[in-house]
Amino acid sequence: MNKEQFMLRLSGGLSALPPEMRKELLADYEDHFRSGLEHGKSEEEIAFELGSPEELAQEALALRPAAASYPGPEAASHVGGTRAETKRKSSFSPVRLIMLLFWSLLAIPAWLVAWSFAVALGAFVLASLASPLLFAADLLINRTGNTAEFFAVLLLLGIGMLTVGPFLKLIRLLAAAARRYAVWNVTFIMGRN
Amino acid sequence: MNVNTQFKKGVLELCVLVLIERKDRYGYELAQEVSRHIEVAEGALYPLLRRLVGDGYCTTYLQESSGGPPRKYYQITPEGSEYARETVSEWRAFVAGVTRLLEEGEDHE
Repeated sequence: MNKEQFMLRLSGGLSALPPEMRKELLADYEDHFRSGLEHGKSEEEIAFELGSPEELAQEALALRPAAASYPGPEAASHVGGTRAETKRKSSFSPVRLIMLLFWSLLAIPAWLVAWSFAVALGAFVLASLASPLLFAADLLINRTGNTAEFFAVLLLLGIGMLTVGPFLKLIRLLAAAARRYAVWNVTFIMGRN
Repeated sequence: MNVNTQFKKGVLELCVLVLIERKDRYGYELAQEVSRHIEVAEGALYPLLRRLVGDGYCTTYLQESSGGPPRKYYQITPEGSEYARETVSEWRAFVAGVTRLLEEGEDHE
């Protein structure tokens, strides 16, 4: 498609625009072609980079004065519109805050229990994994240690290696849950959006 | 029109605002600059620029170019700068949120 074909198709698609606006917009594309040619591009290349004239015309039609006063889905999808809407719909509520305080009396101890459990489990896993080192230290420093101890250490190491994976997974789940709980708290106080 | 196209249109506004906030630019220059980074129908710039002018986020002026008719330059207004700043921080929060969501998904699988 060369420049003339592009402009013809675009101008056809823009026929619903007020003449003034249409003229200005077409001049913008004329200028674009001129700059592109100055930069050594062919008309076909420029037209290709501009995109489909019909689609461009549709976008431009969304700008009509009538369309501007009644923002369609296009207008709502642009970043500014969505922000304004979220702001309007969510509002801080003191009643919800108080409700949340009572709920927290229950929830916070539950969280503490869960985290203490995780910490204890972590300590156990760490100790199990470190047991060969401790055993070695025992041998070197105290010169005690026997076969029974050696097998006990081997067993502990095995348990440690088996539990470290699930333990990390548990920590990750807990962290994700805590994050979700925090987000839920905020949305609860601010109202749903 | 697919979702991807809609999505790019929203992002295009952000890119244009940021680019003209750095310095005044003319249409073709903006198109080149945007295309260097993202694949987009360059023609979508002009309706967008008209809207930005209409909303008072930027103004235009004509300036002579070397050996040719004058070019239309776009210049950001204080409102435009403010809007650009807001949009950029919204974009950052949005990207961070999506990234978090994707990573959370990986944790559960």
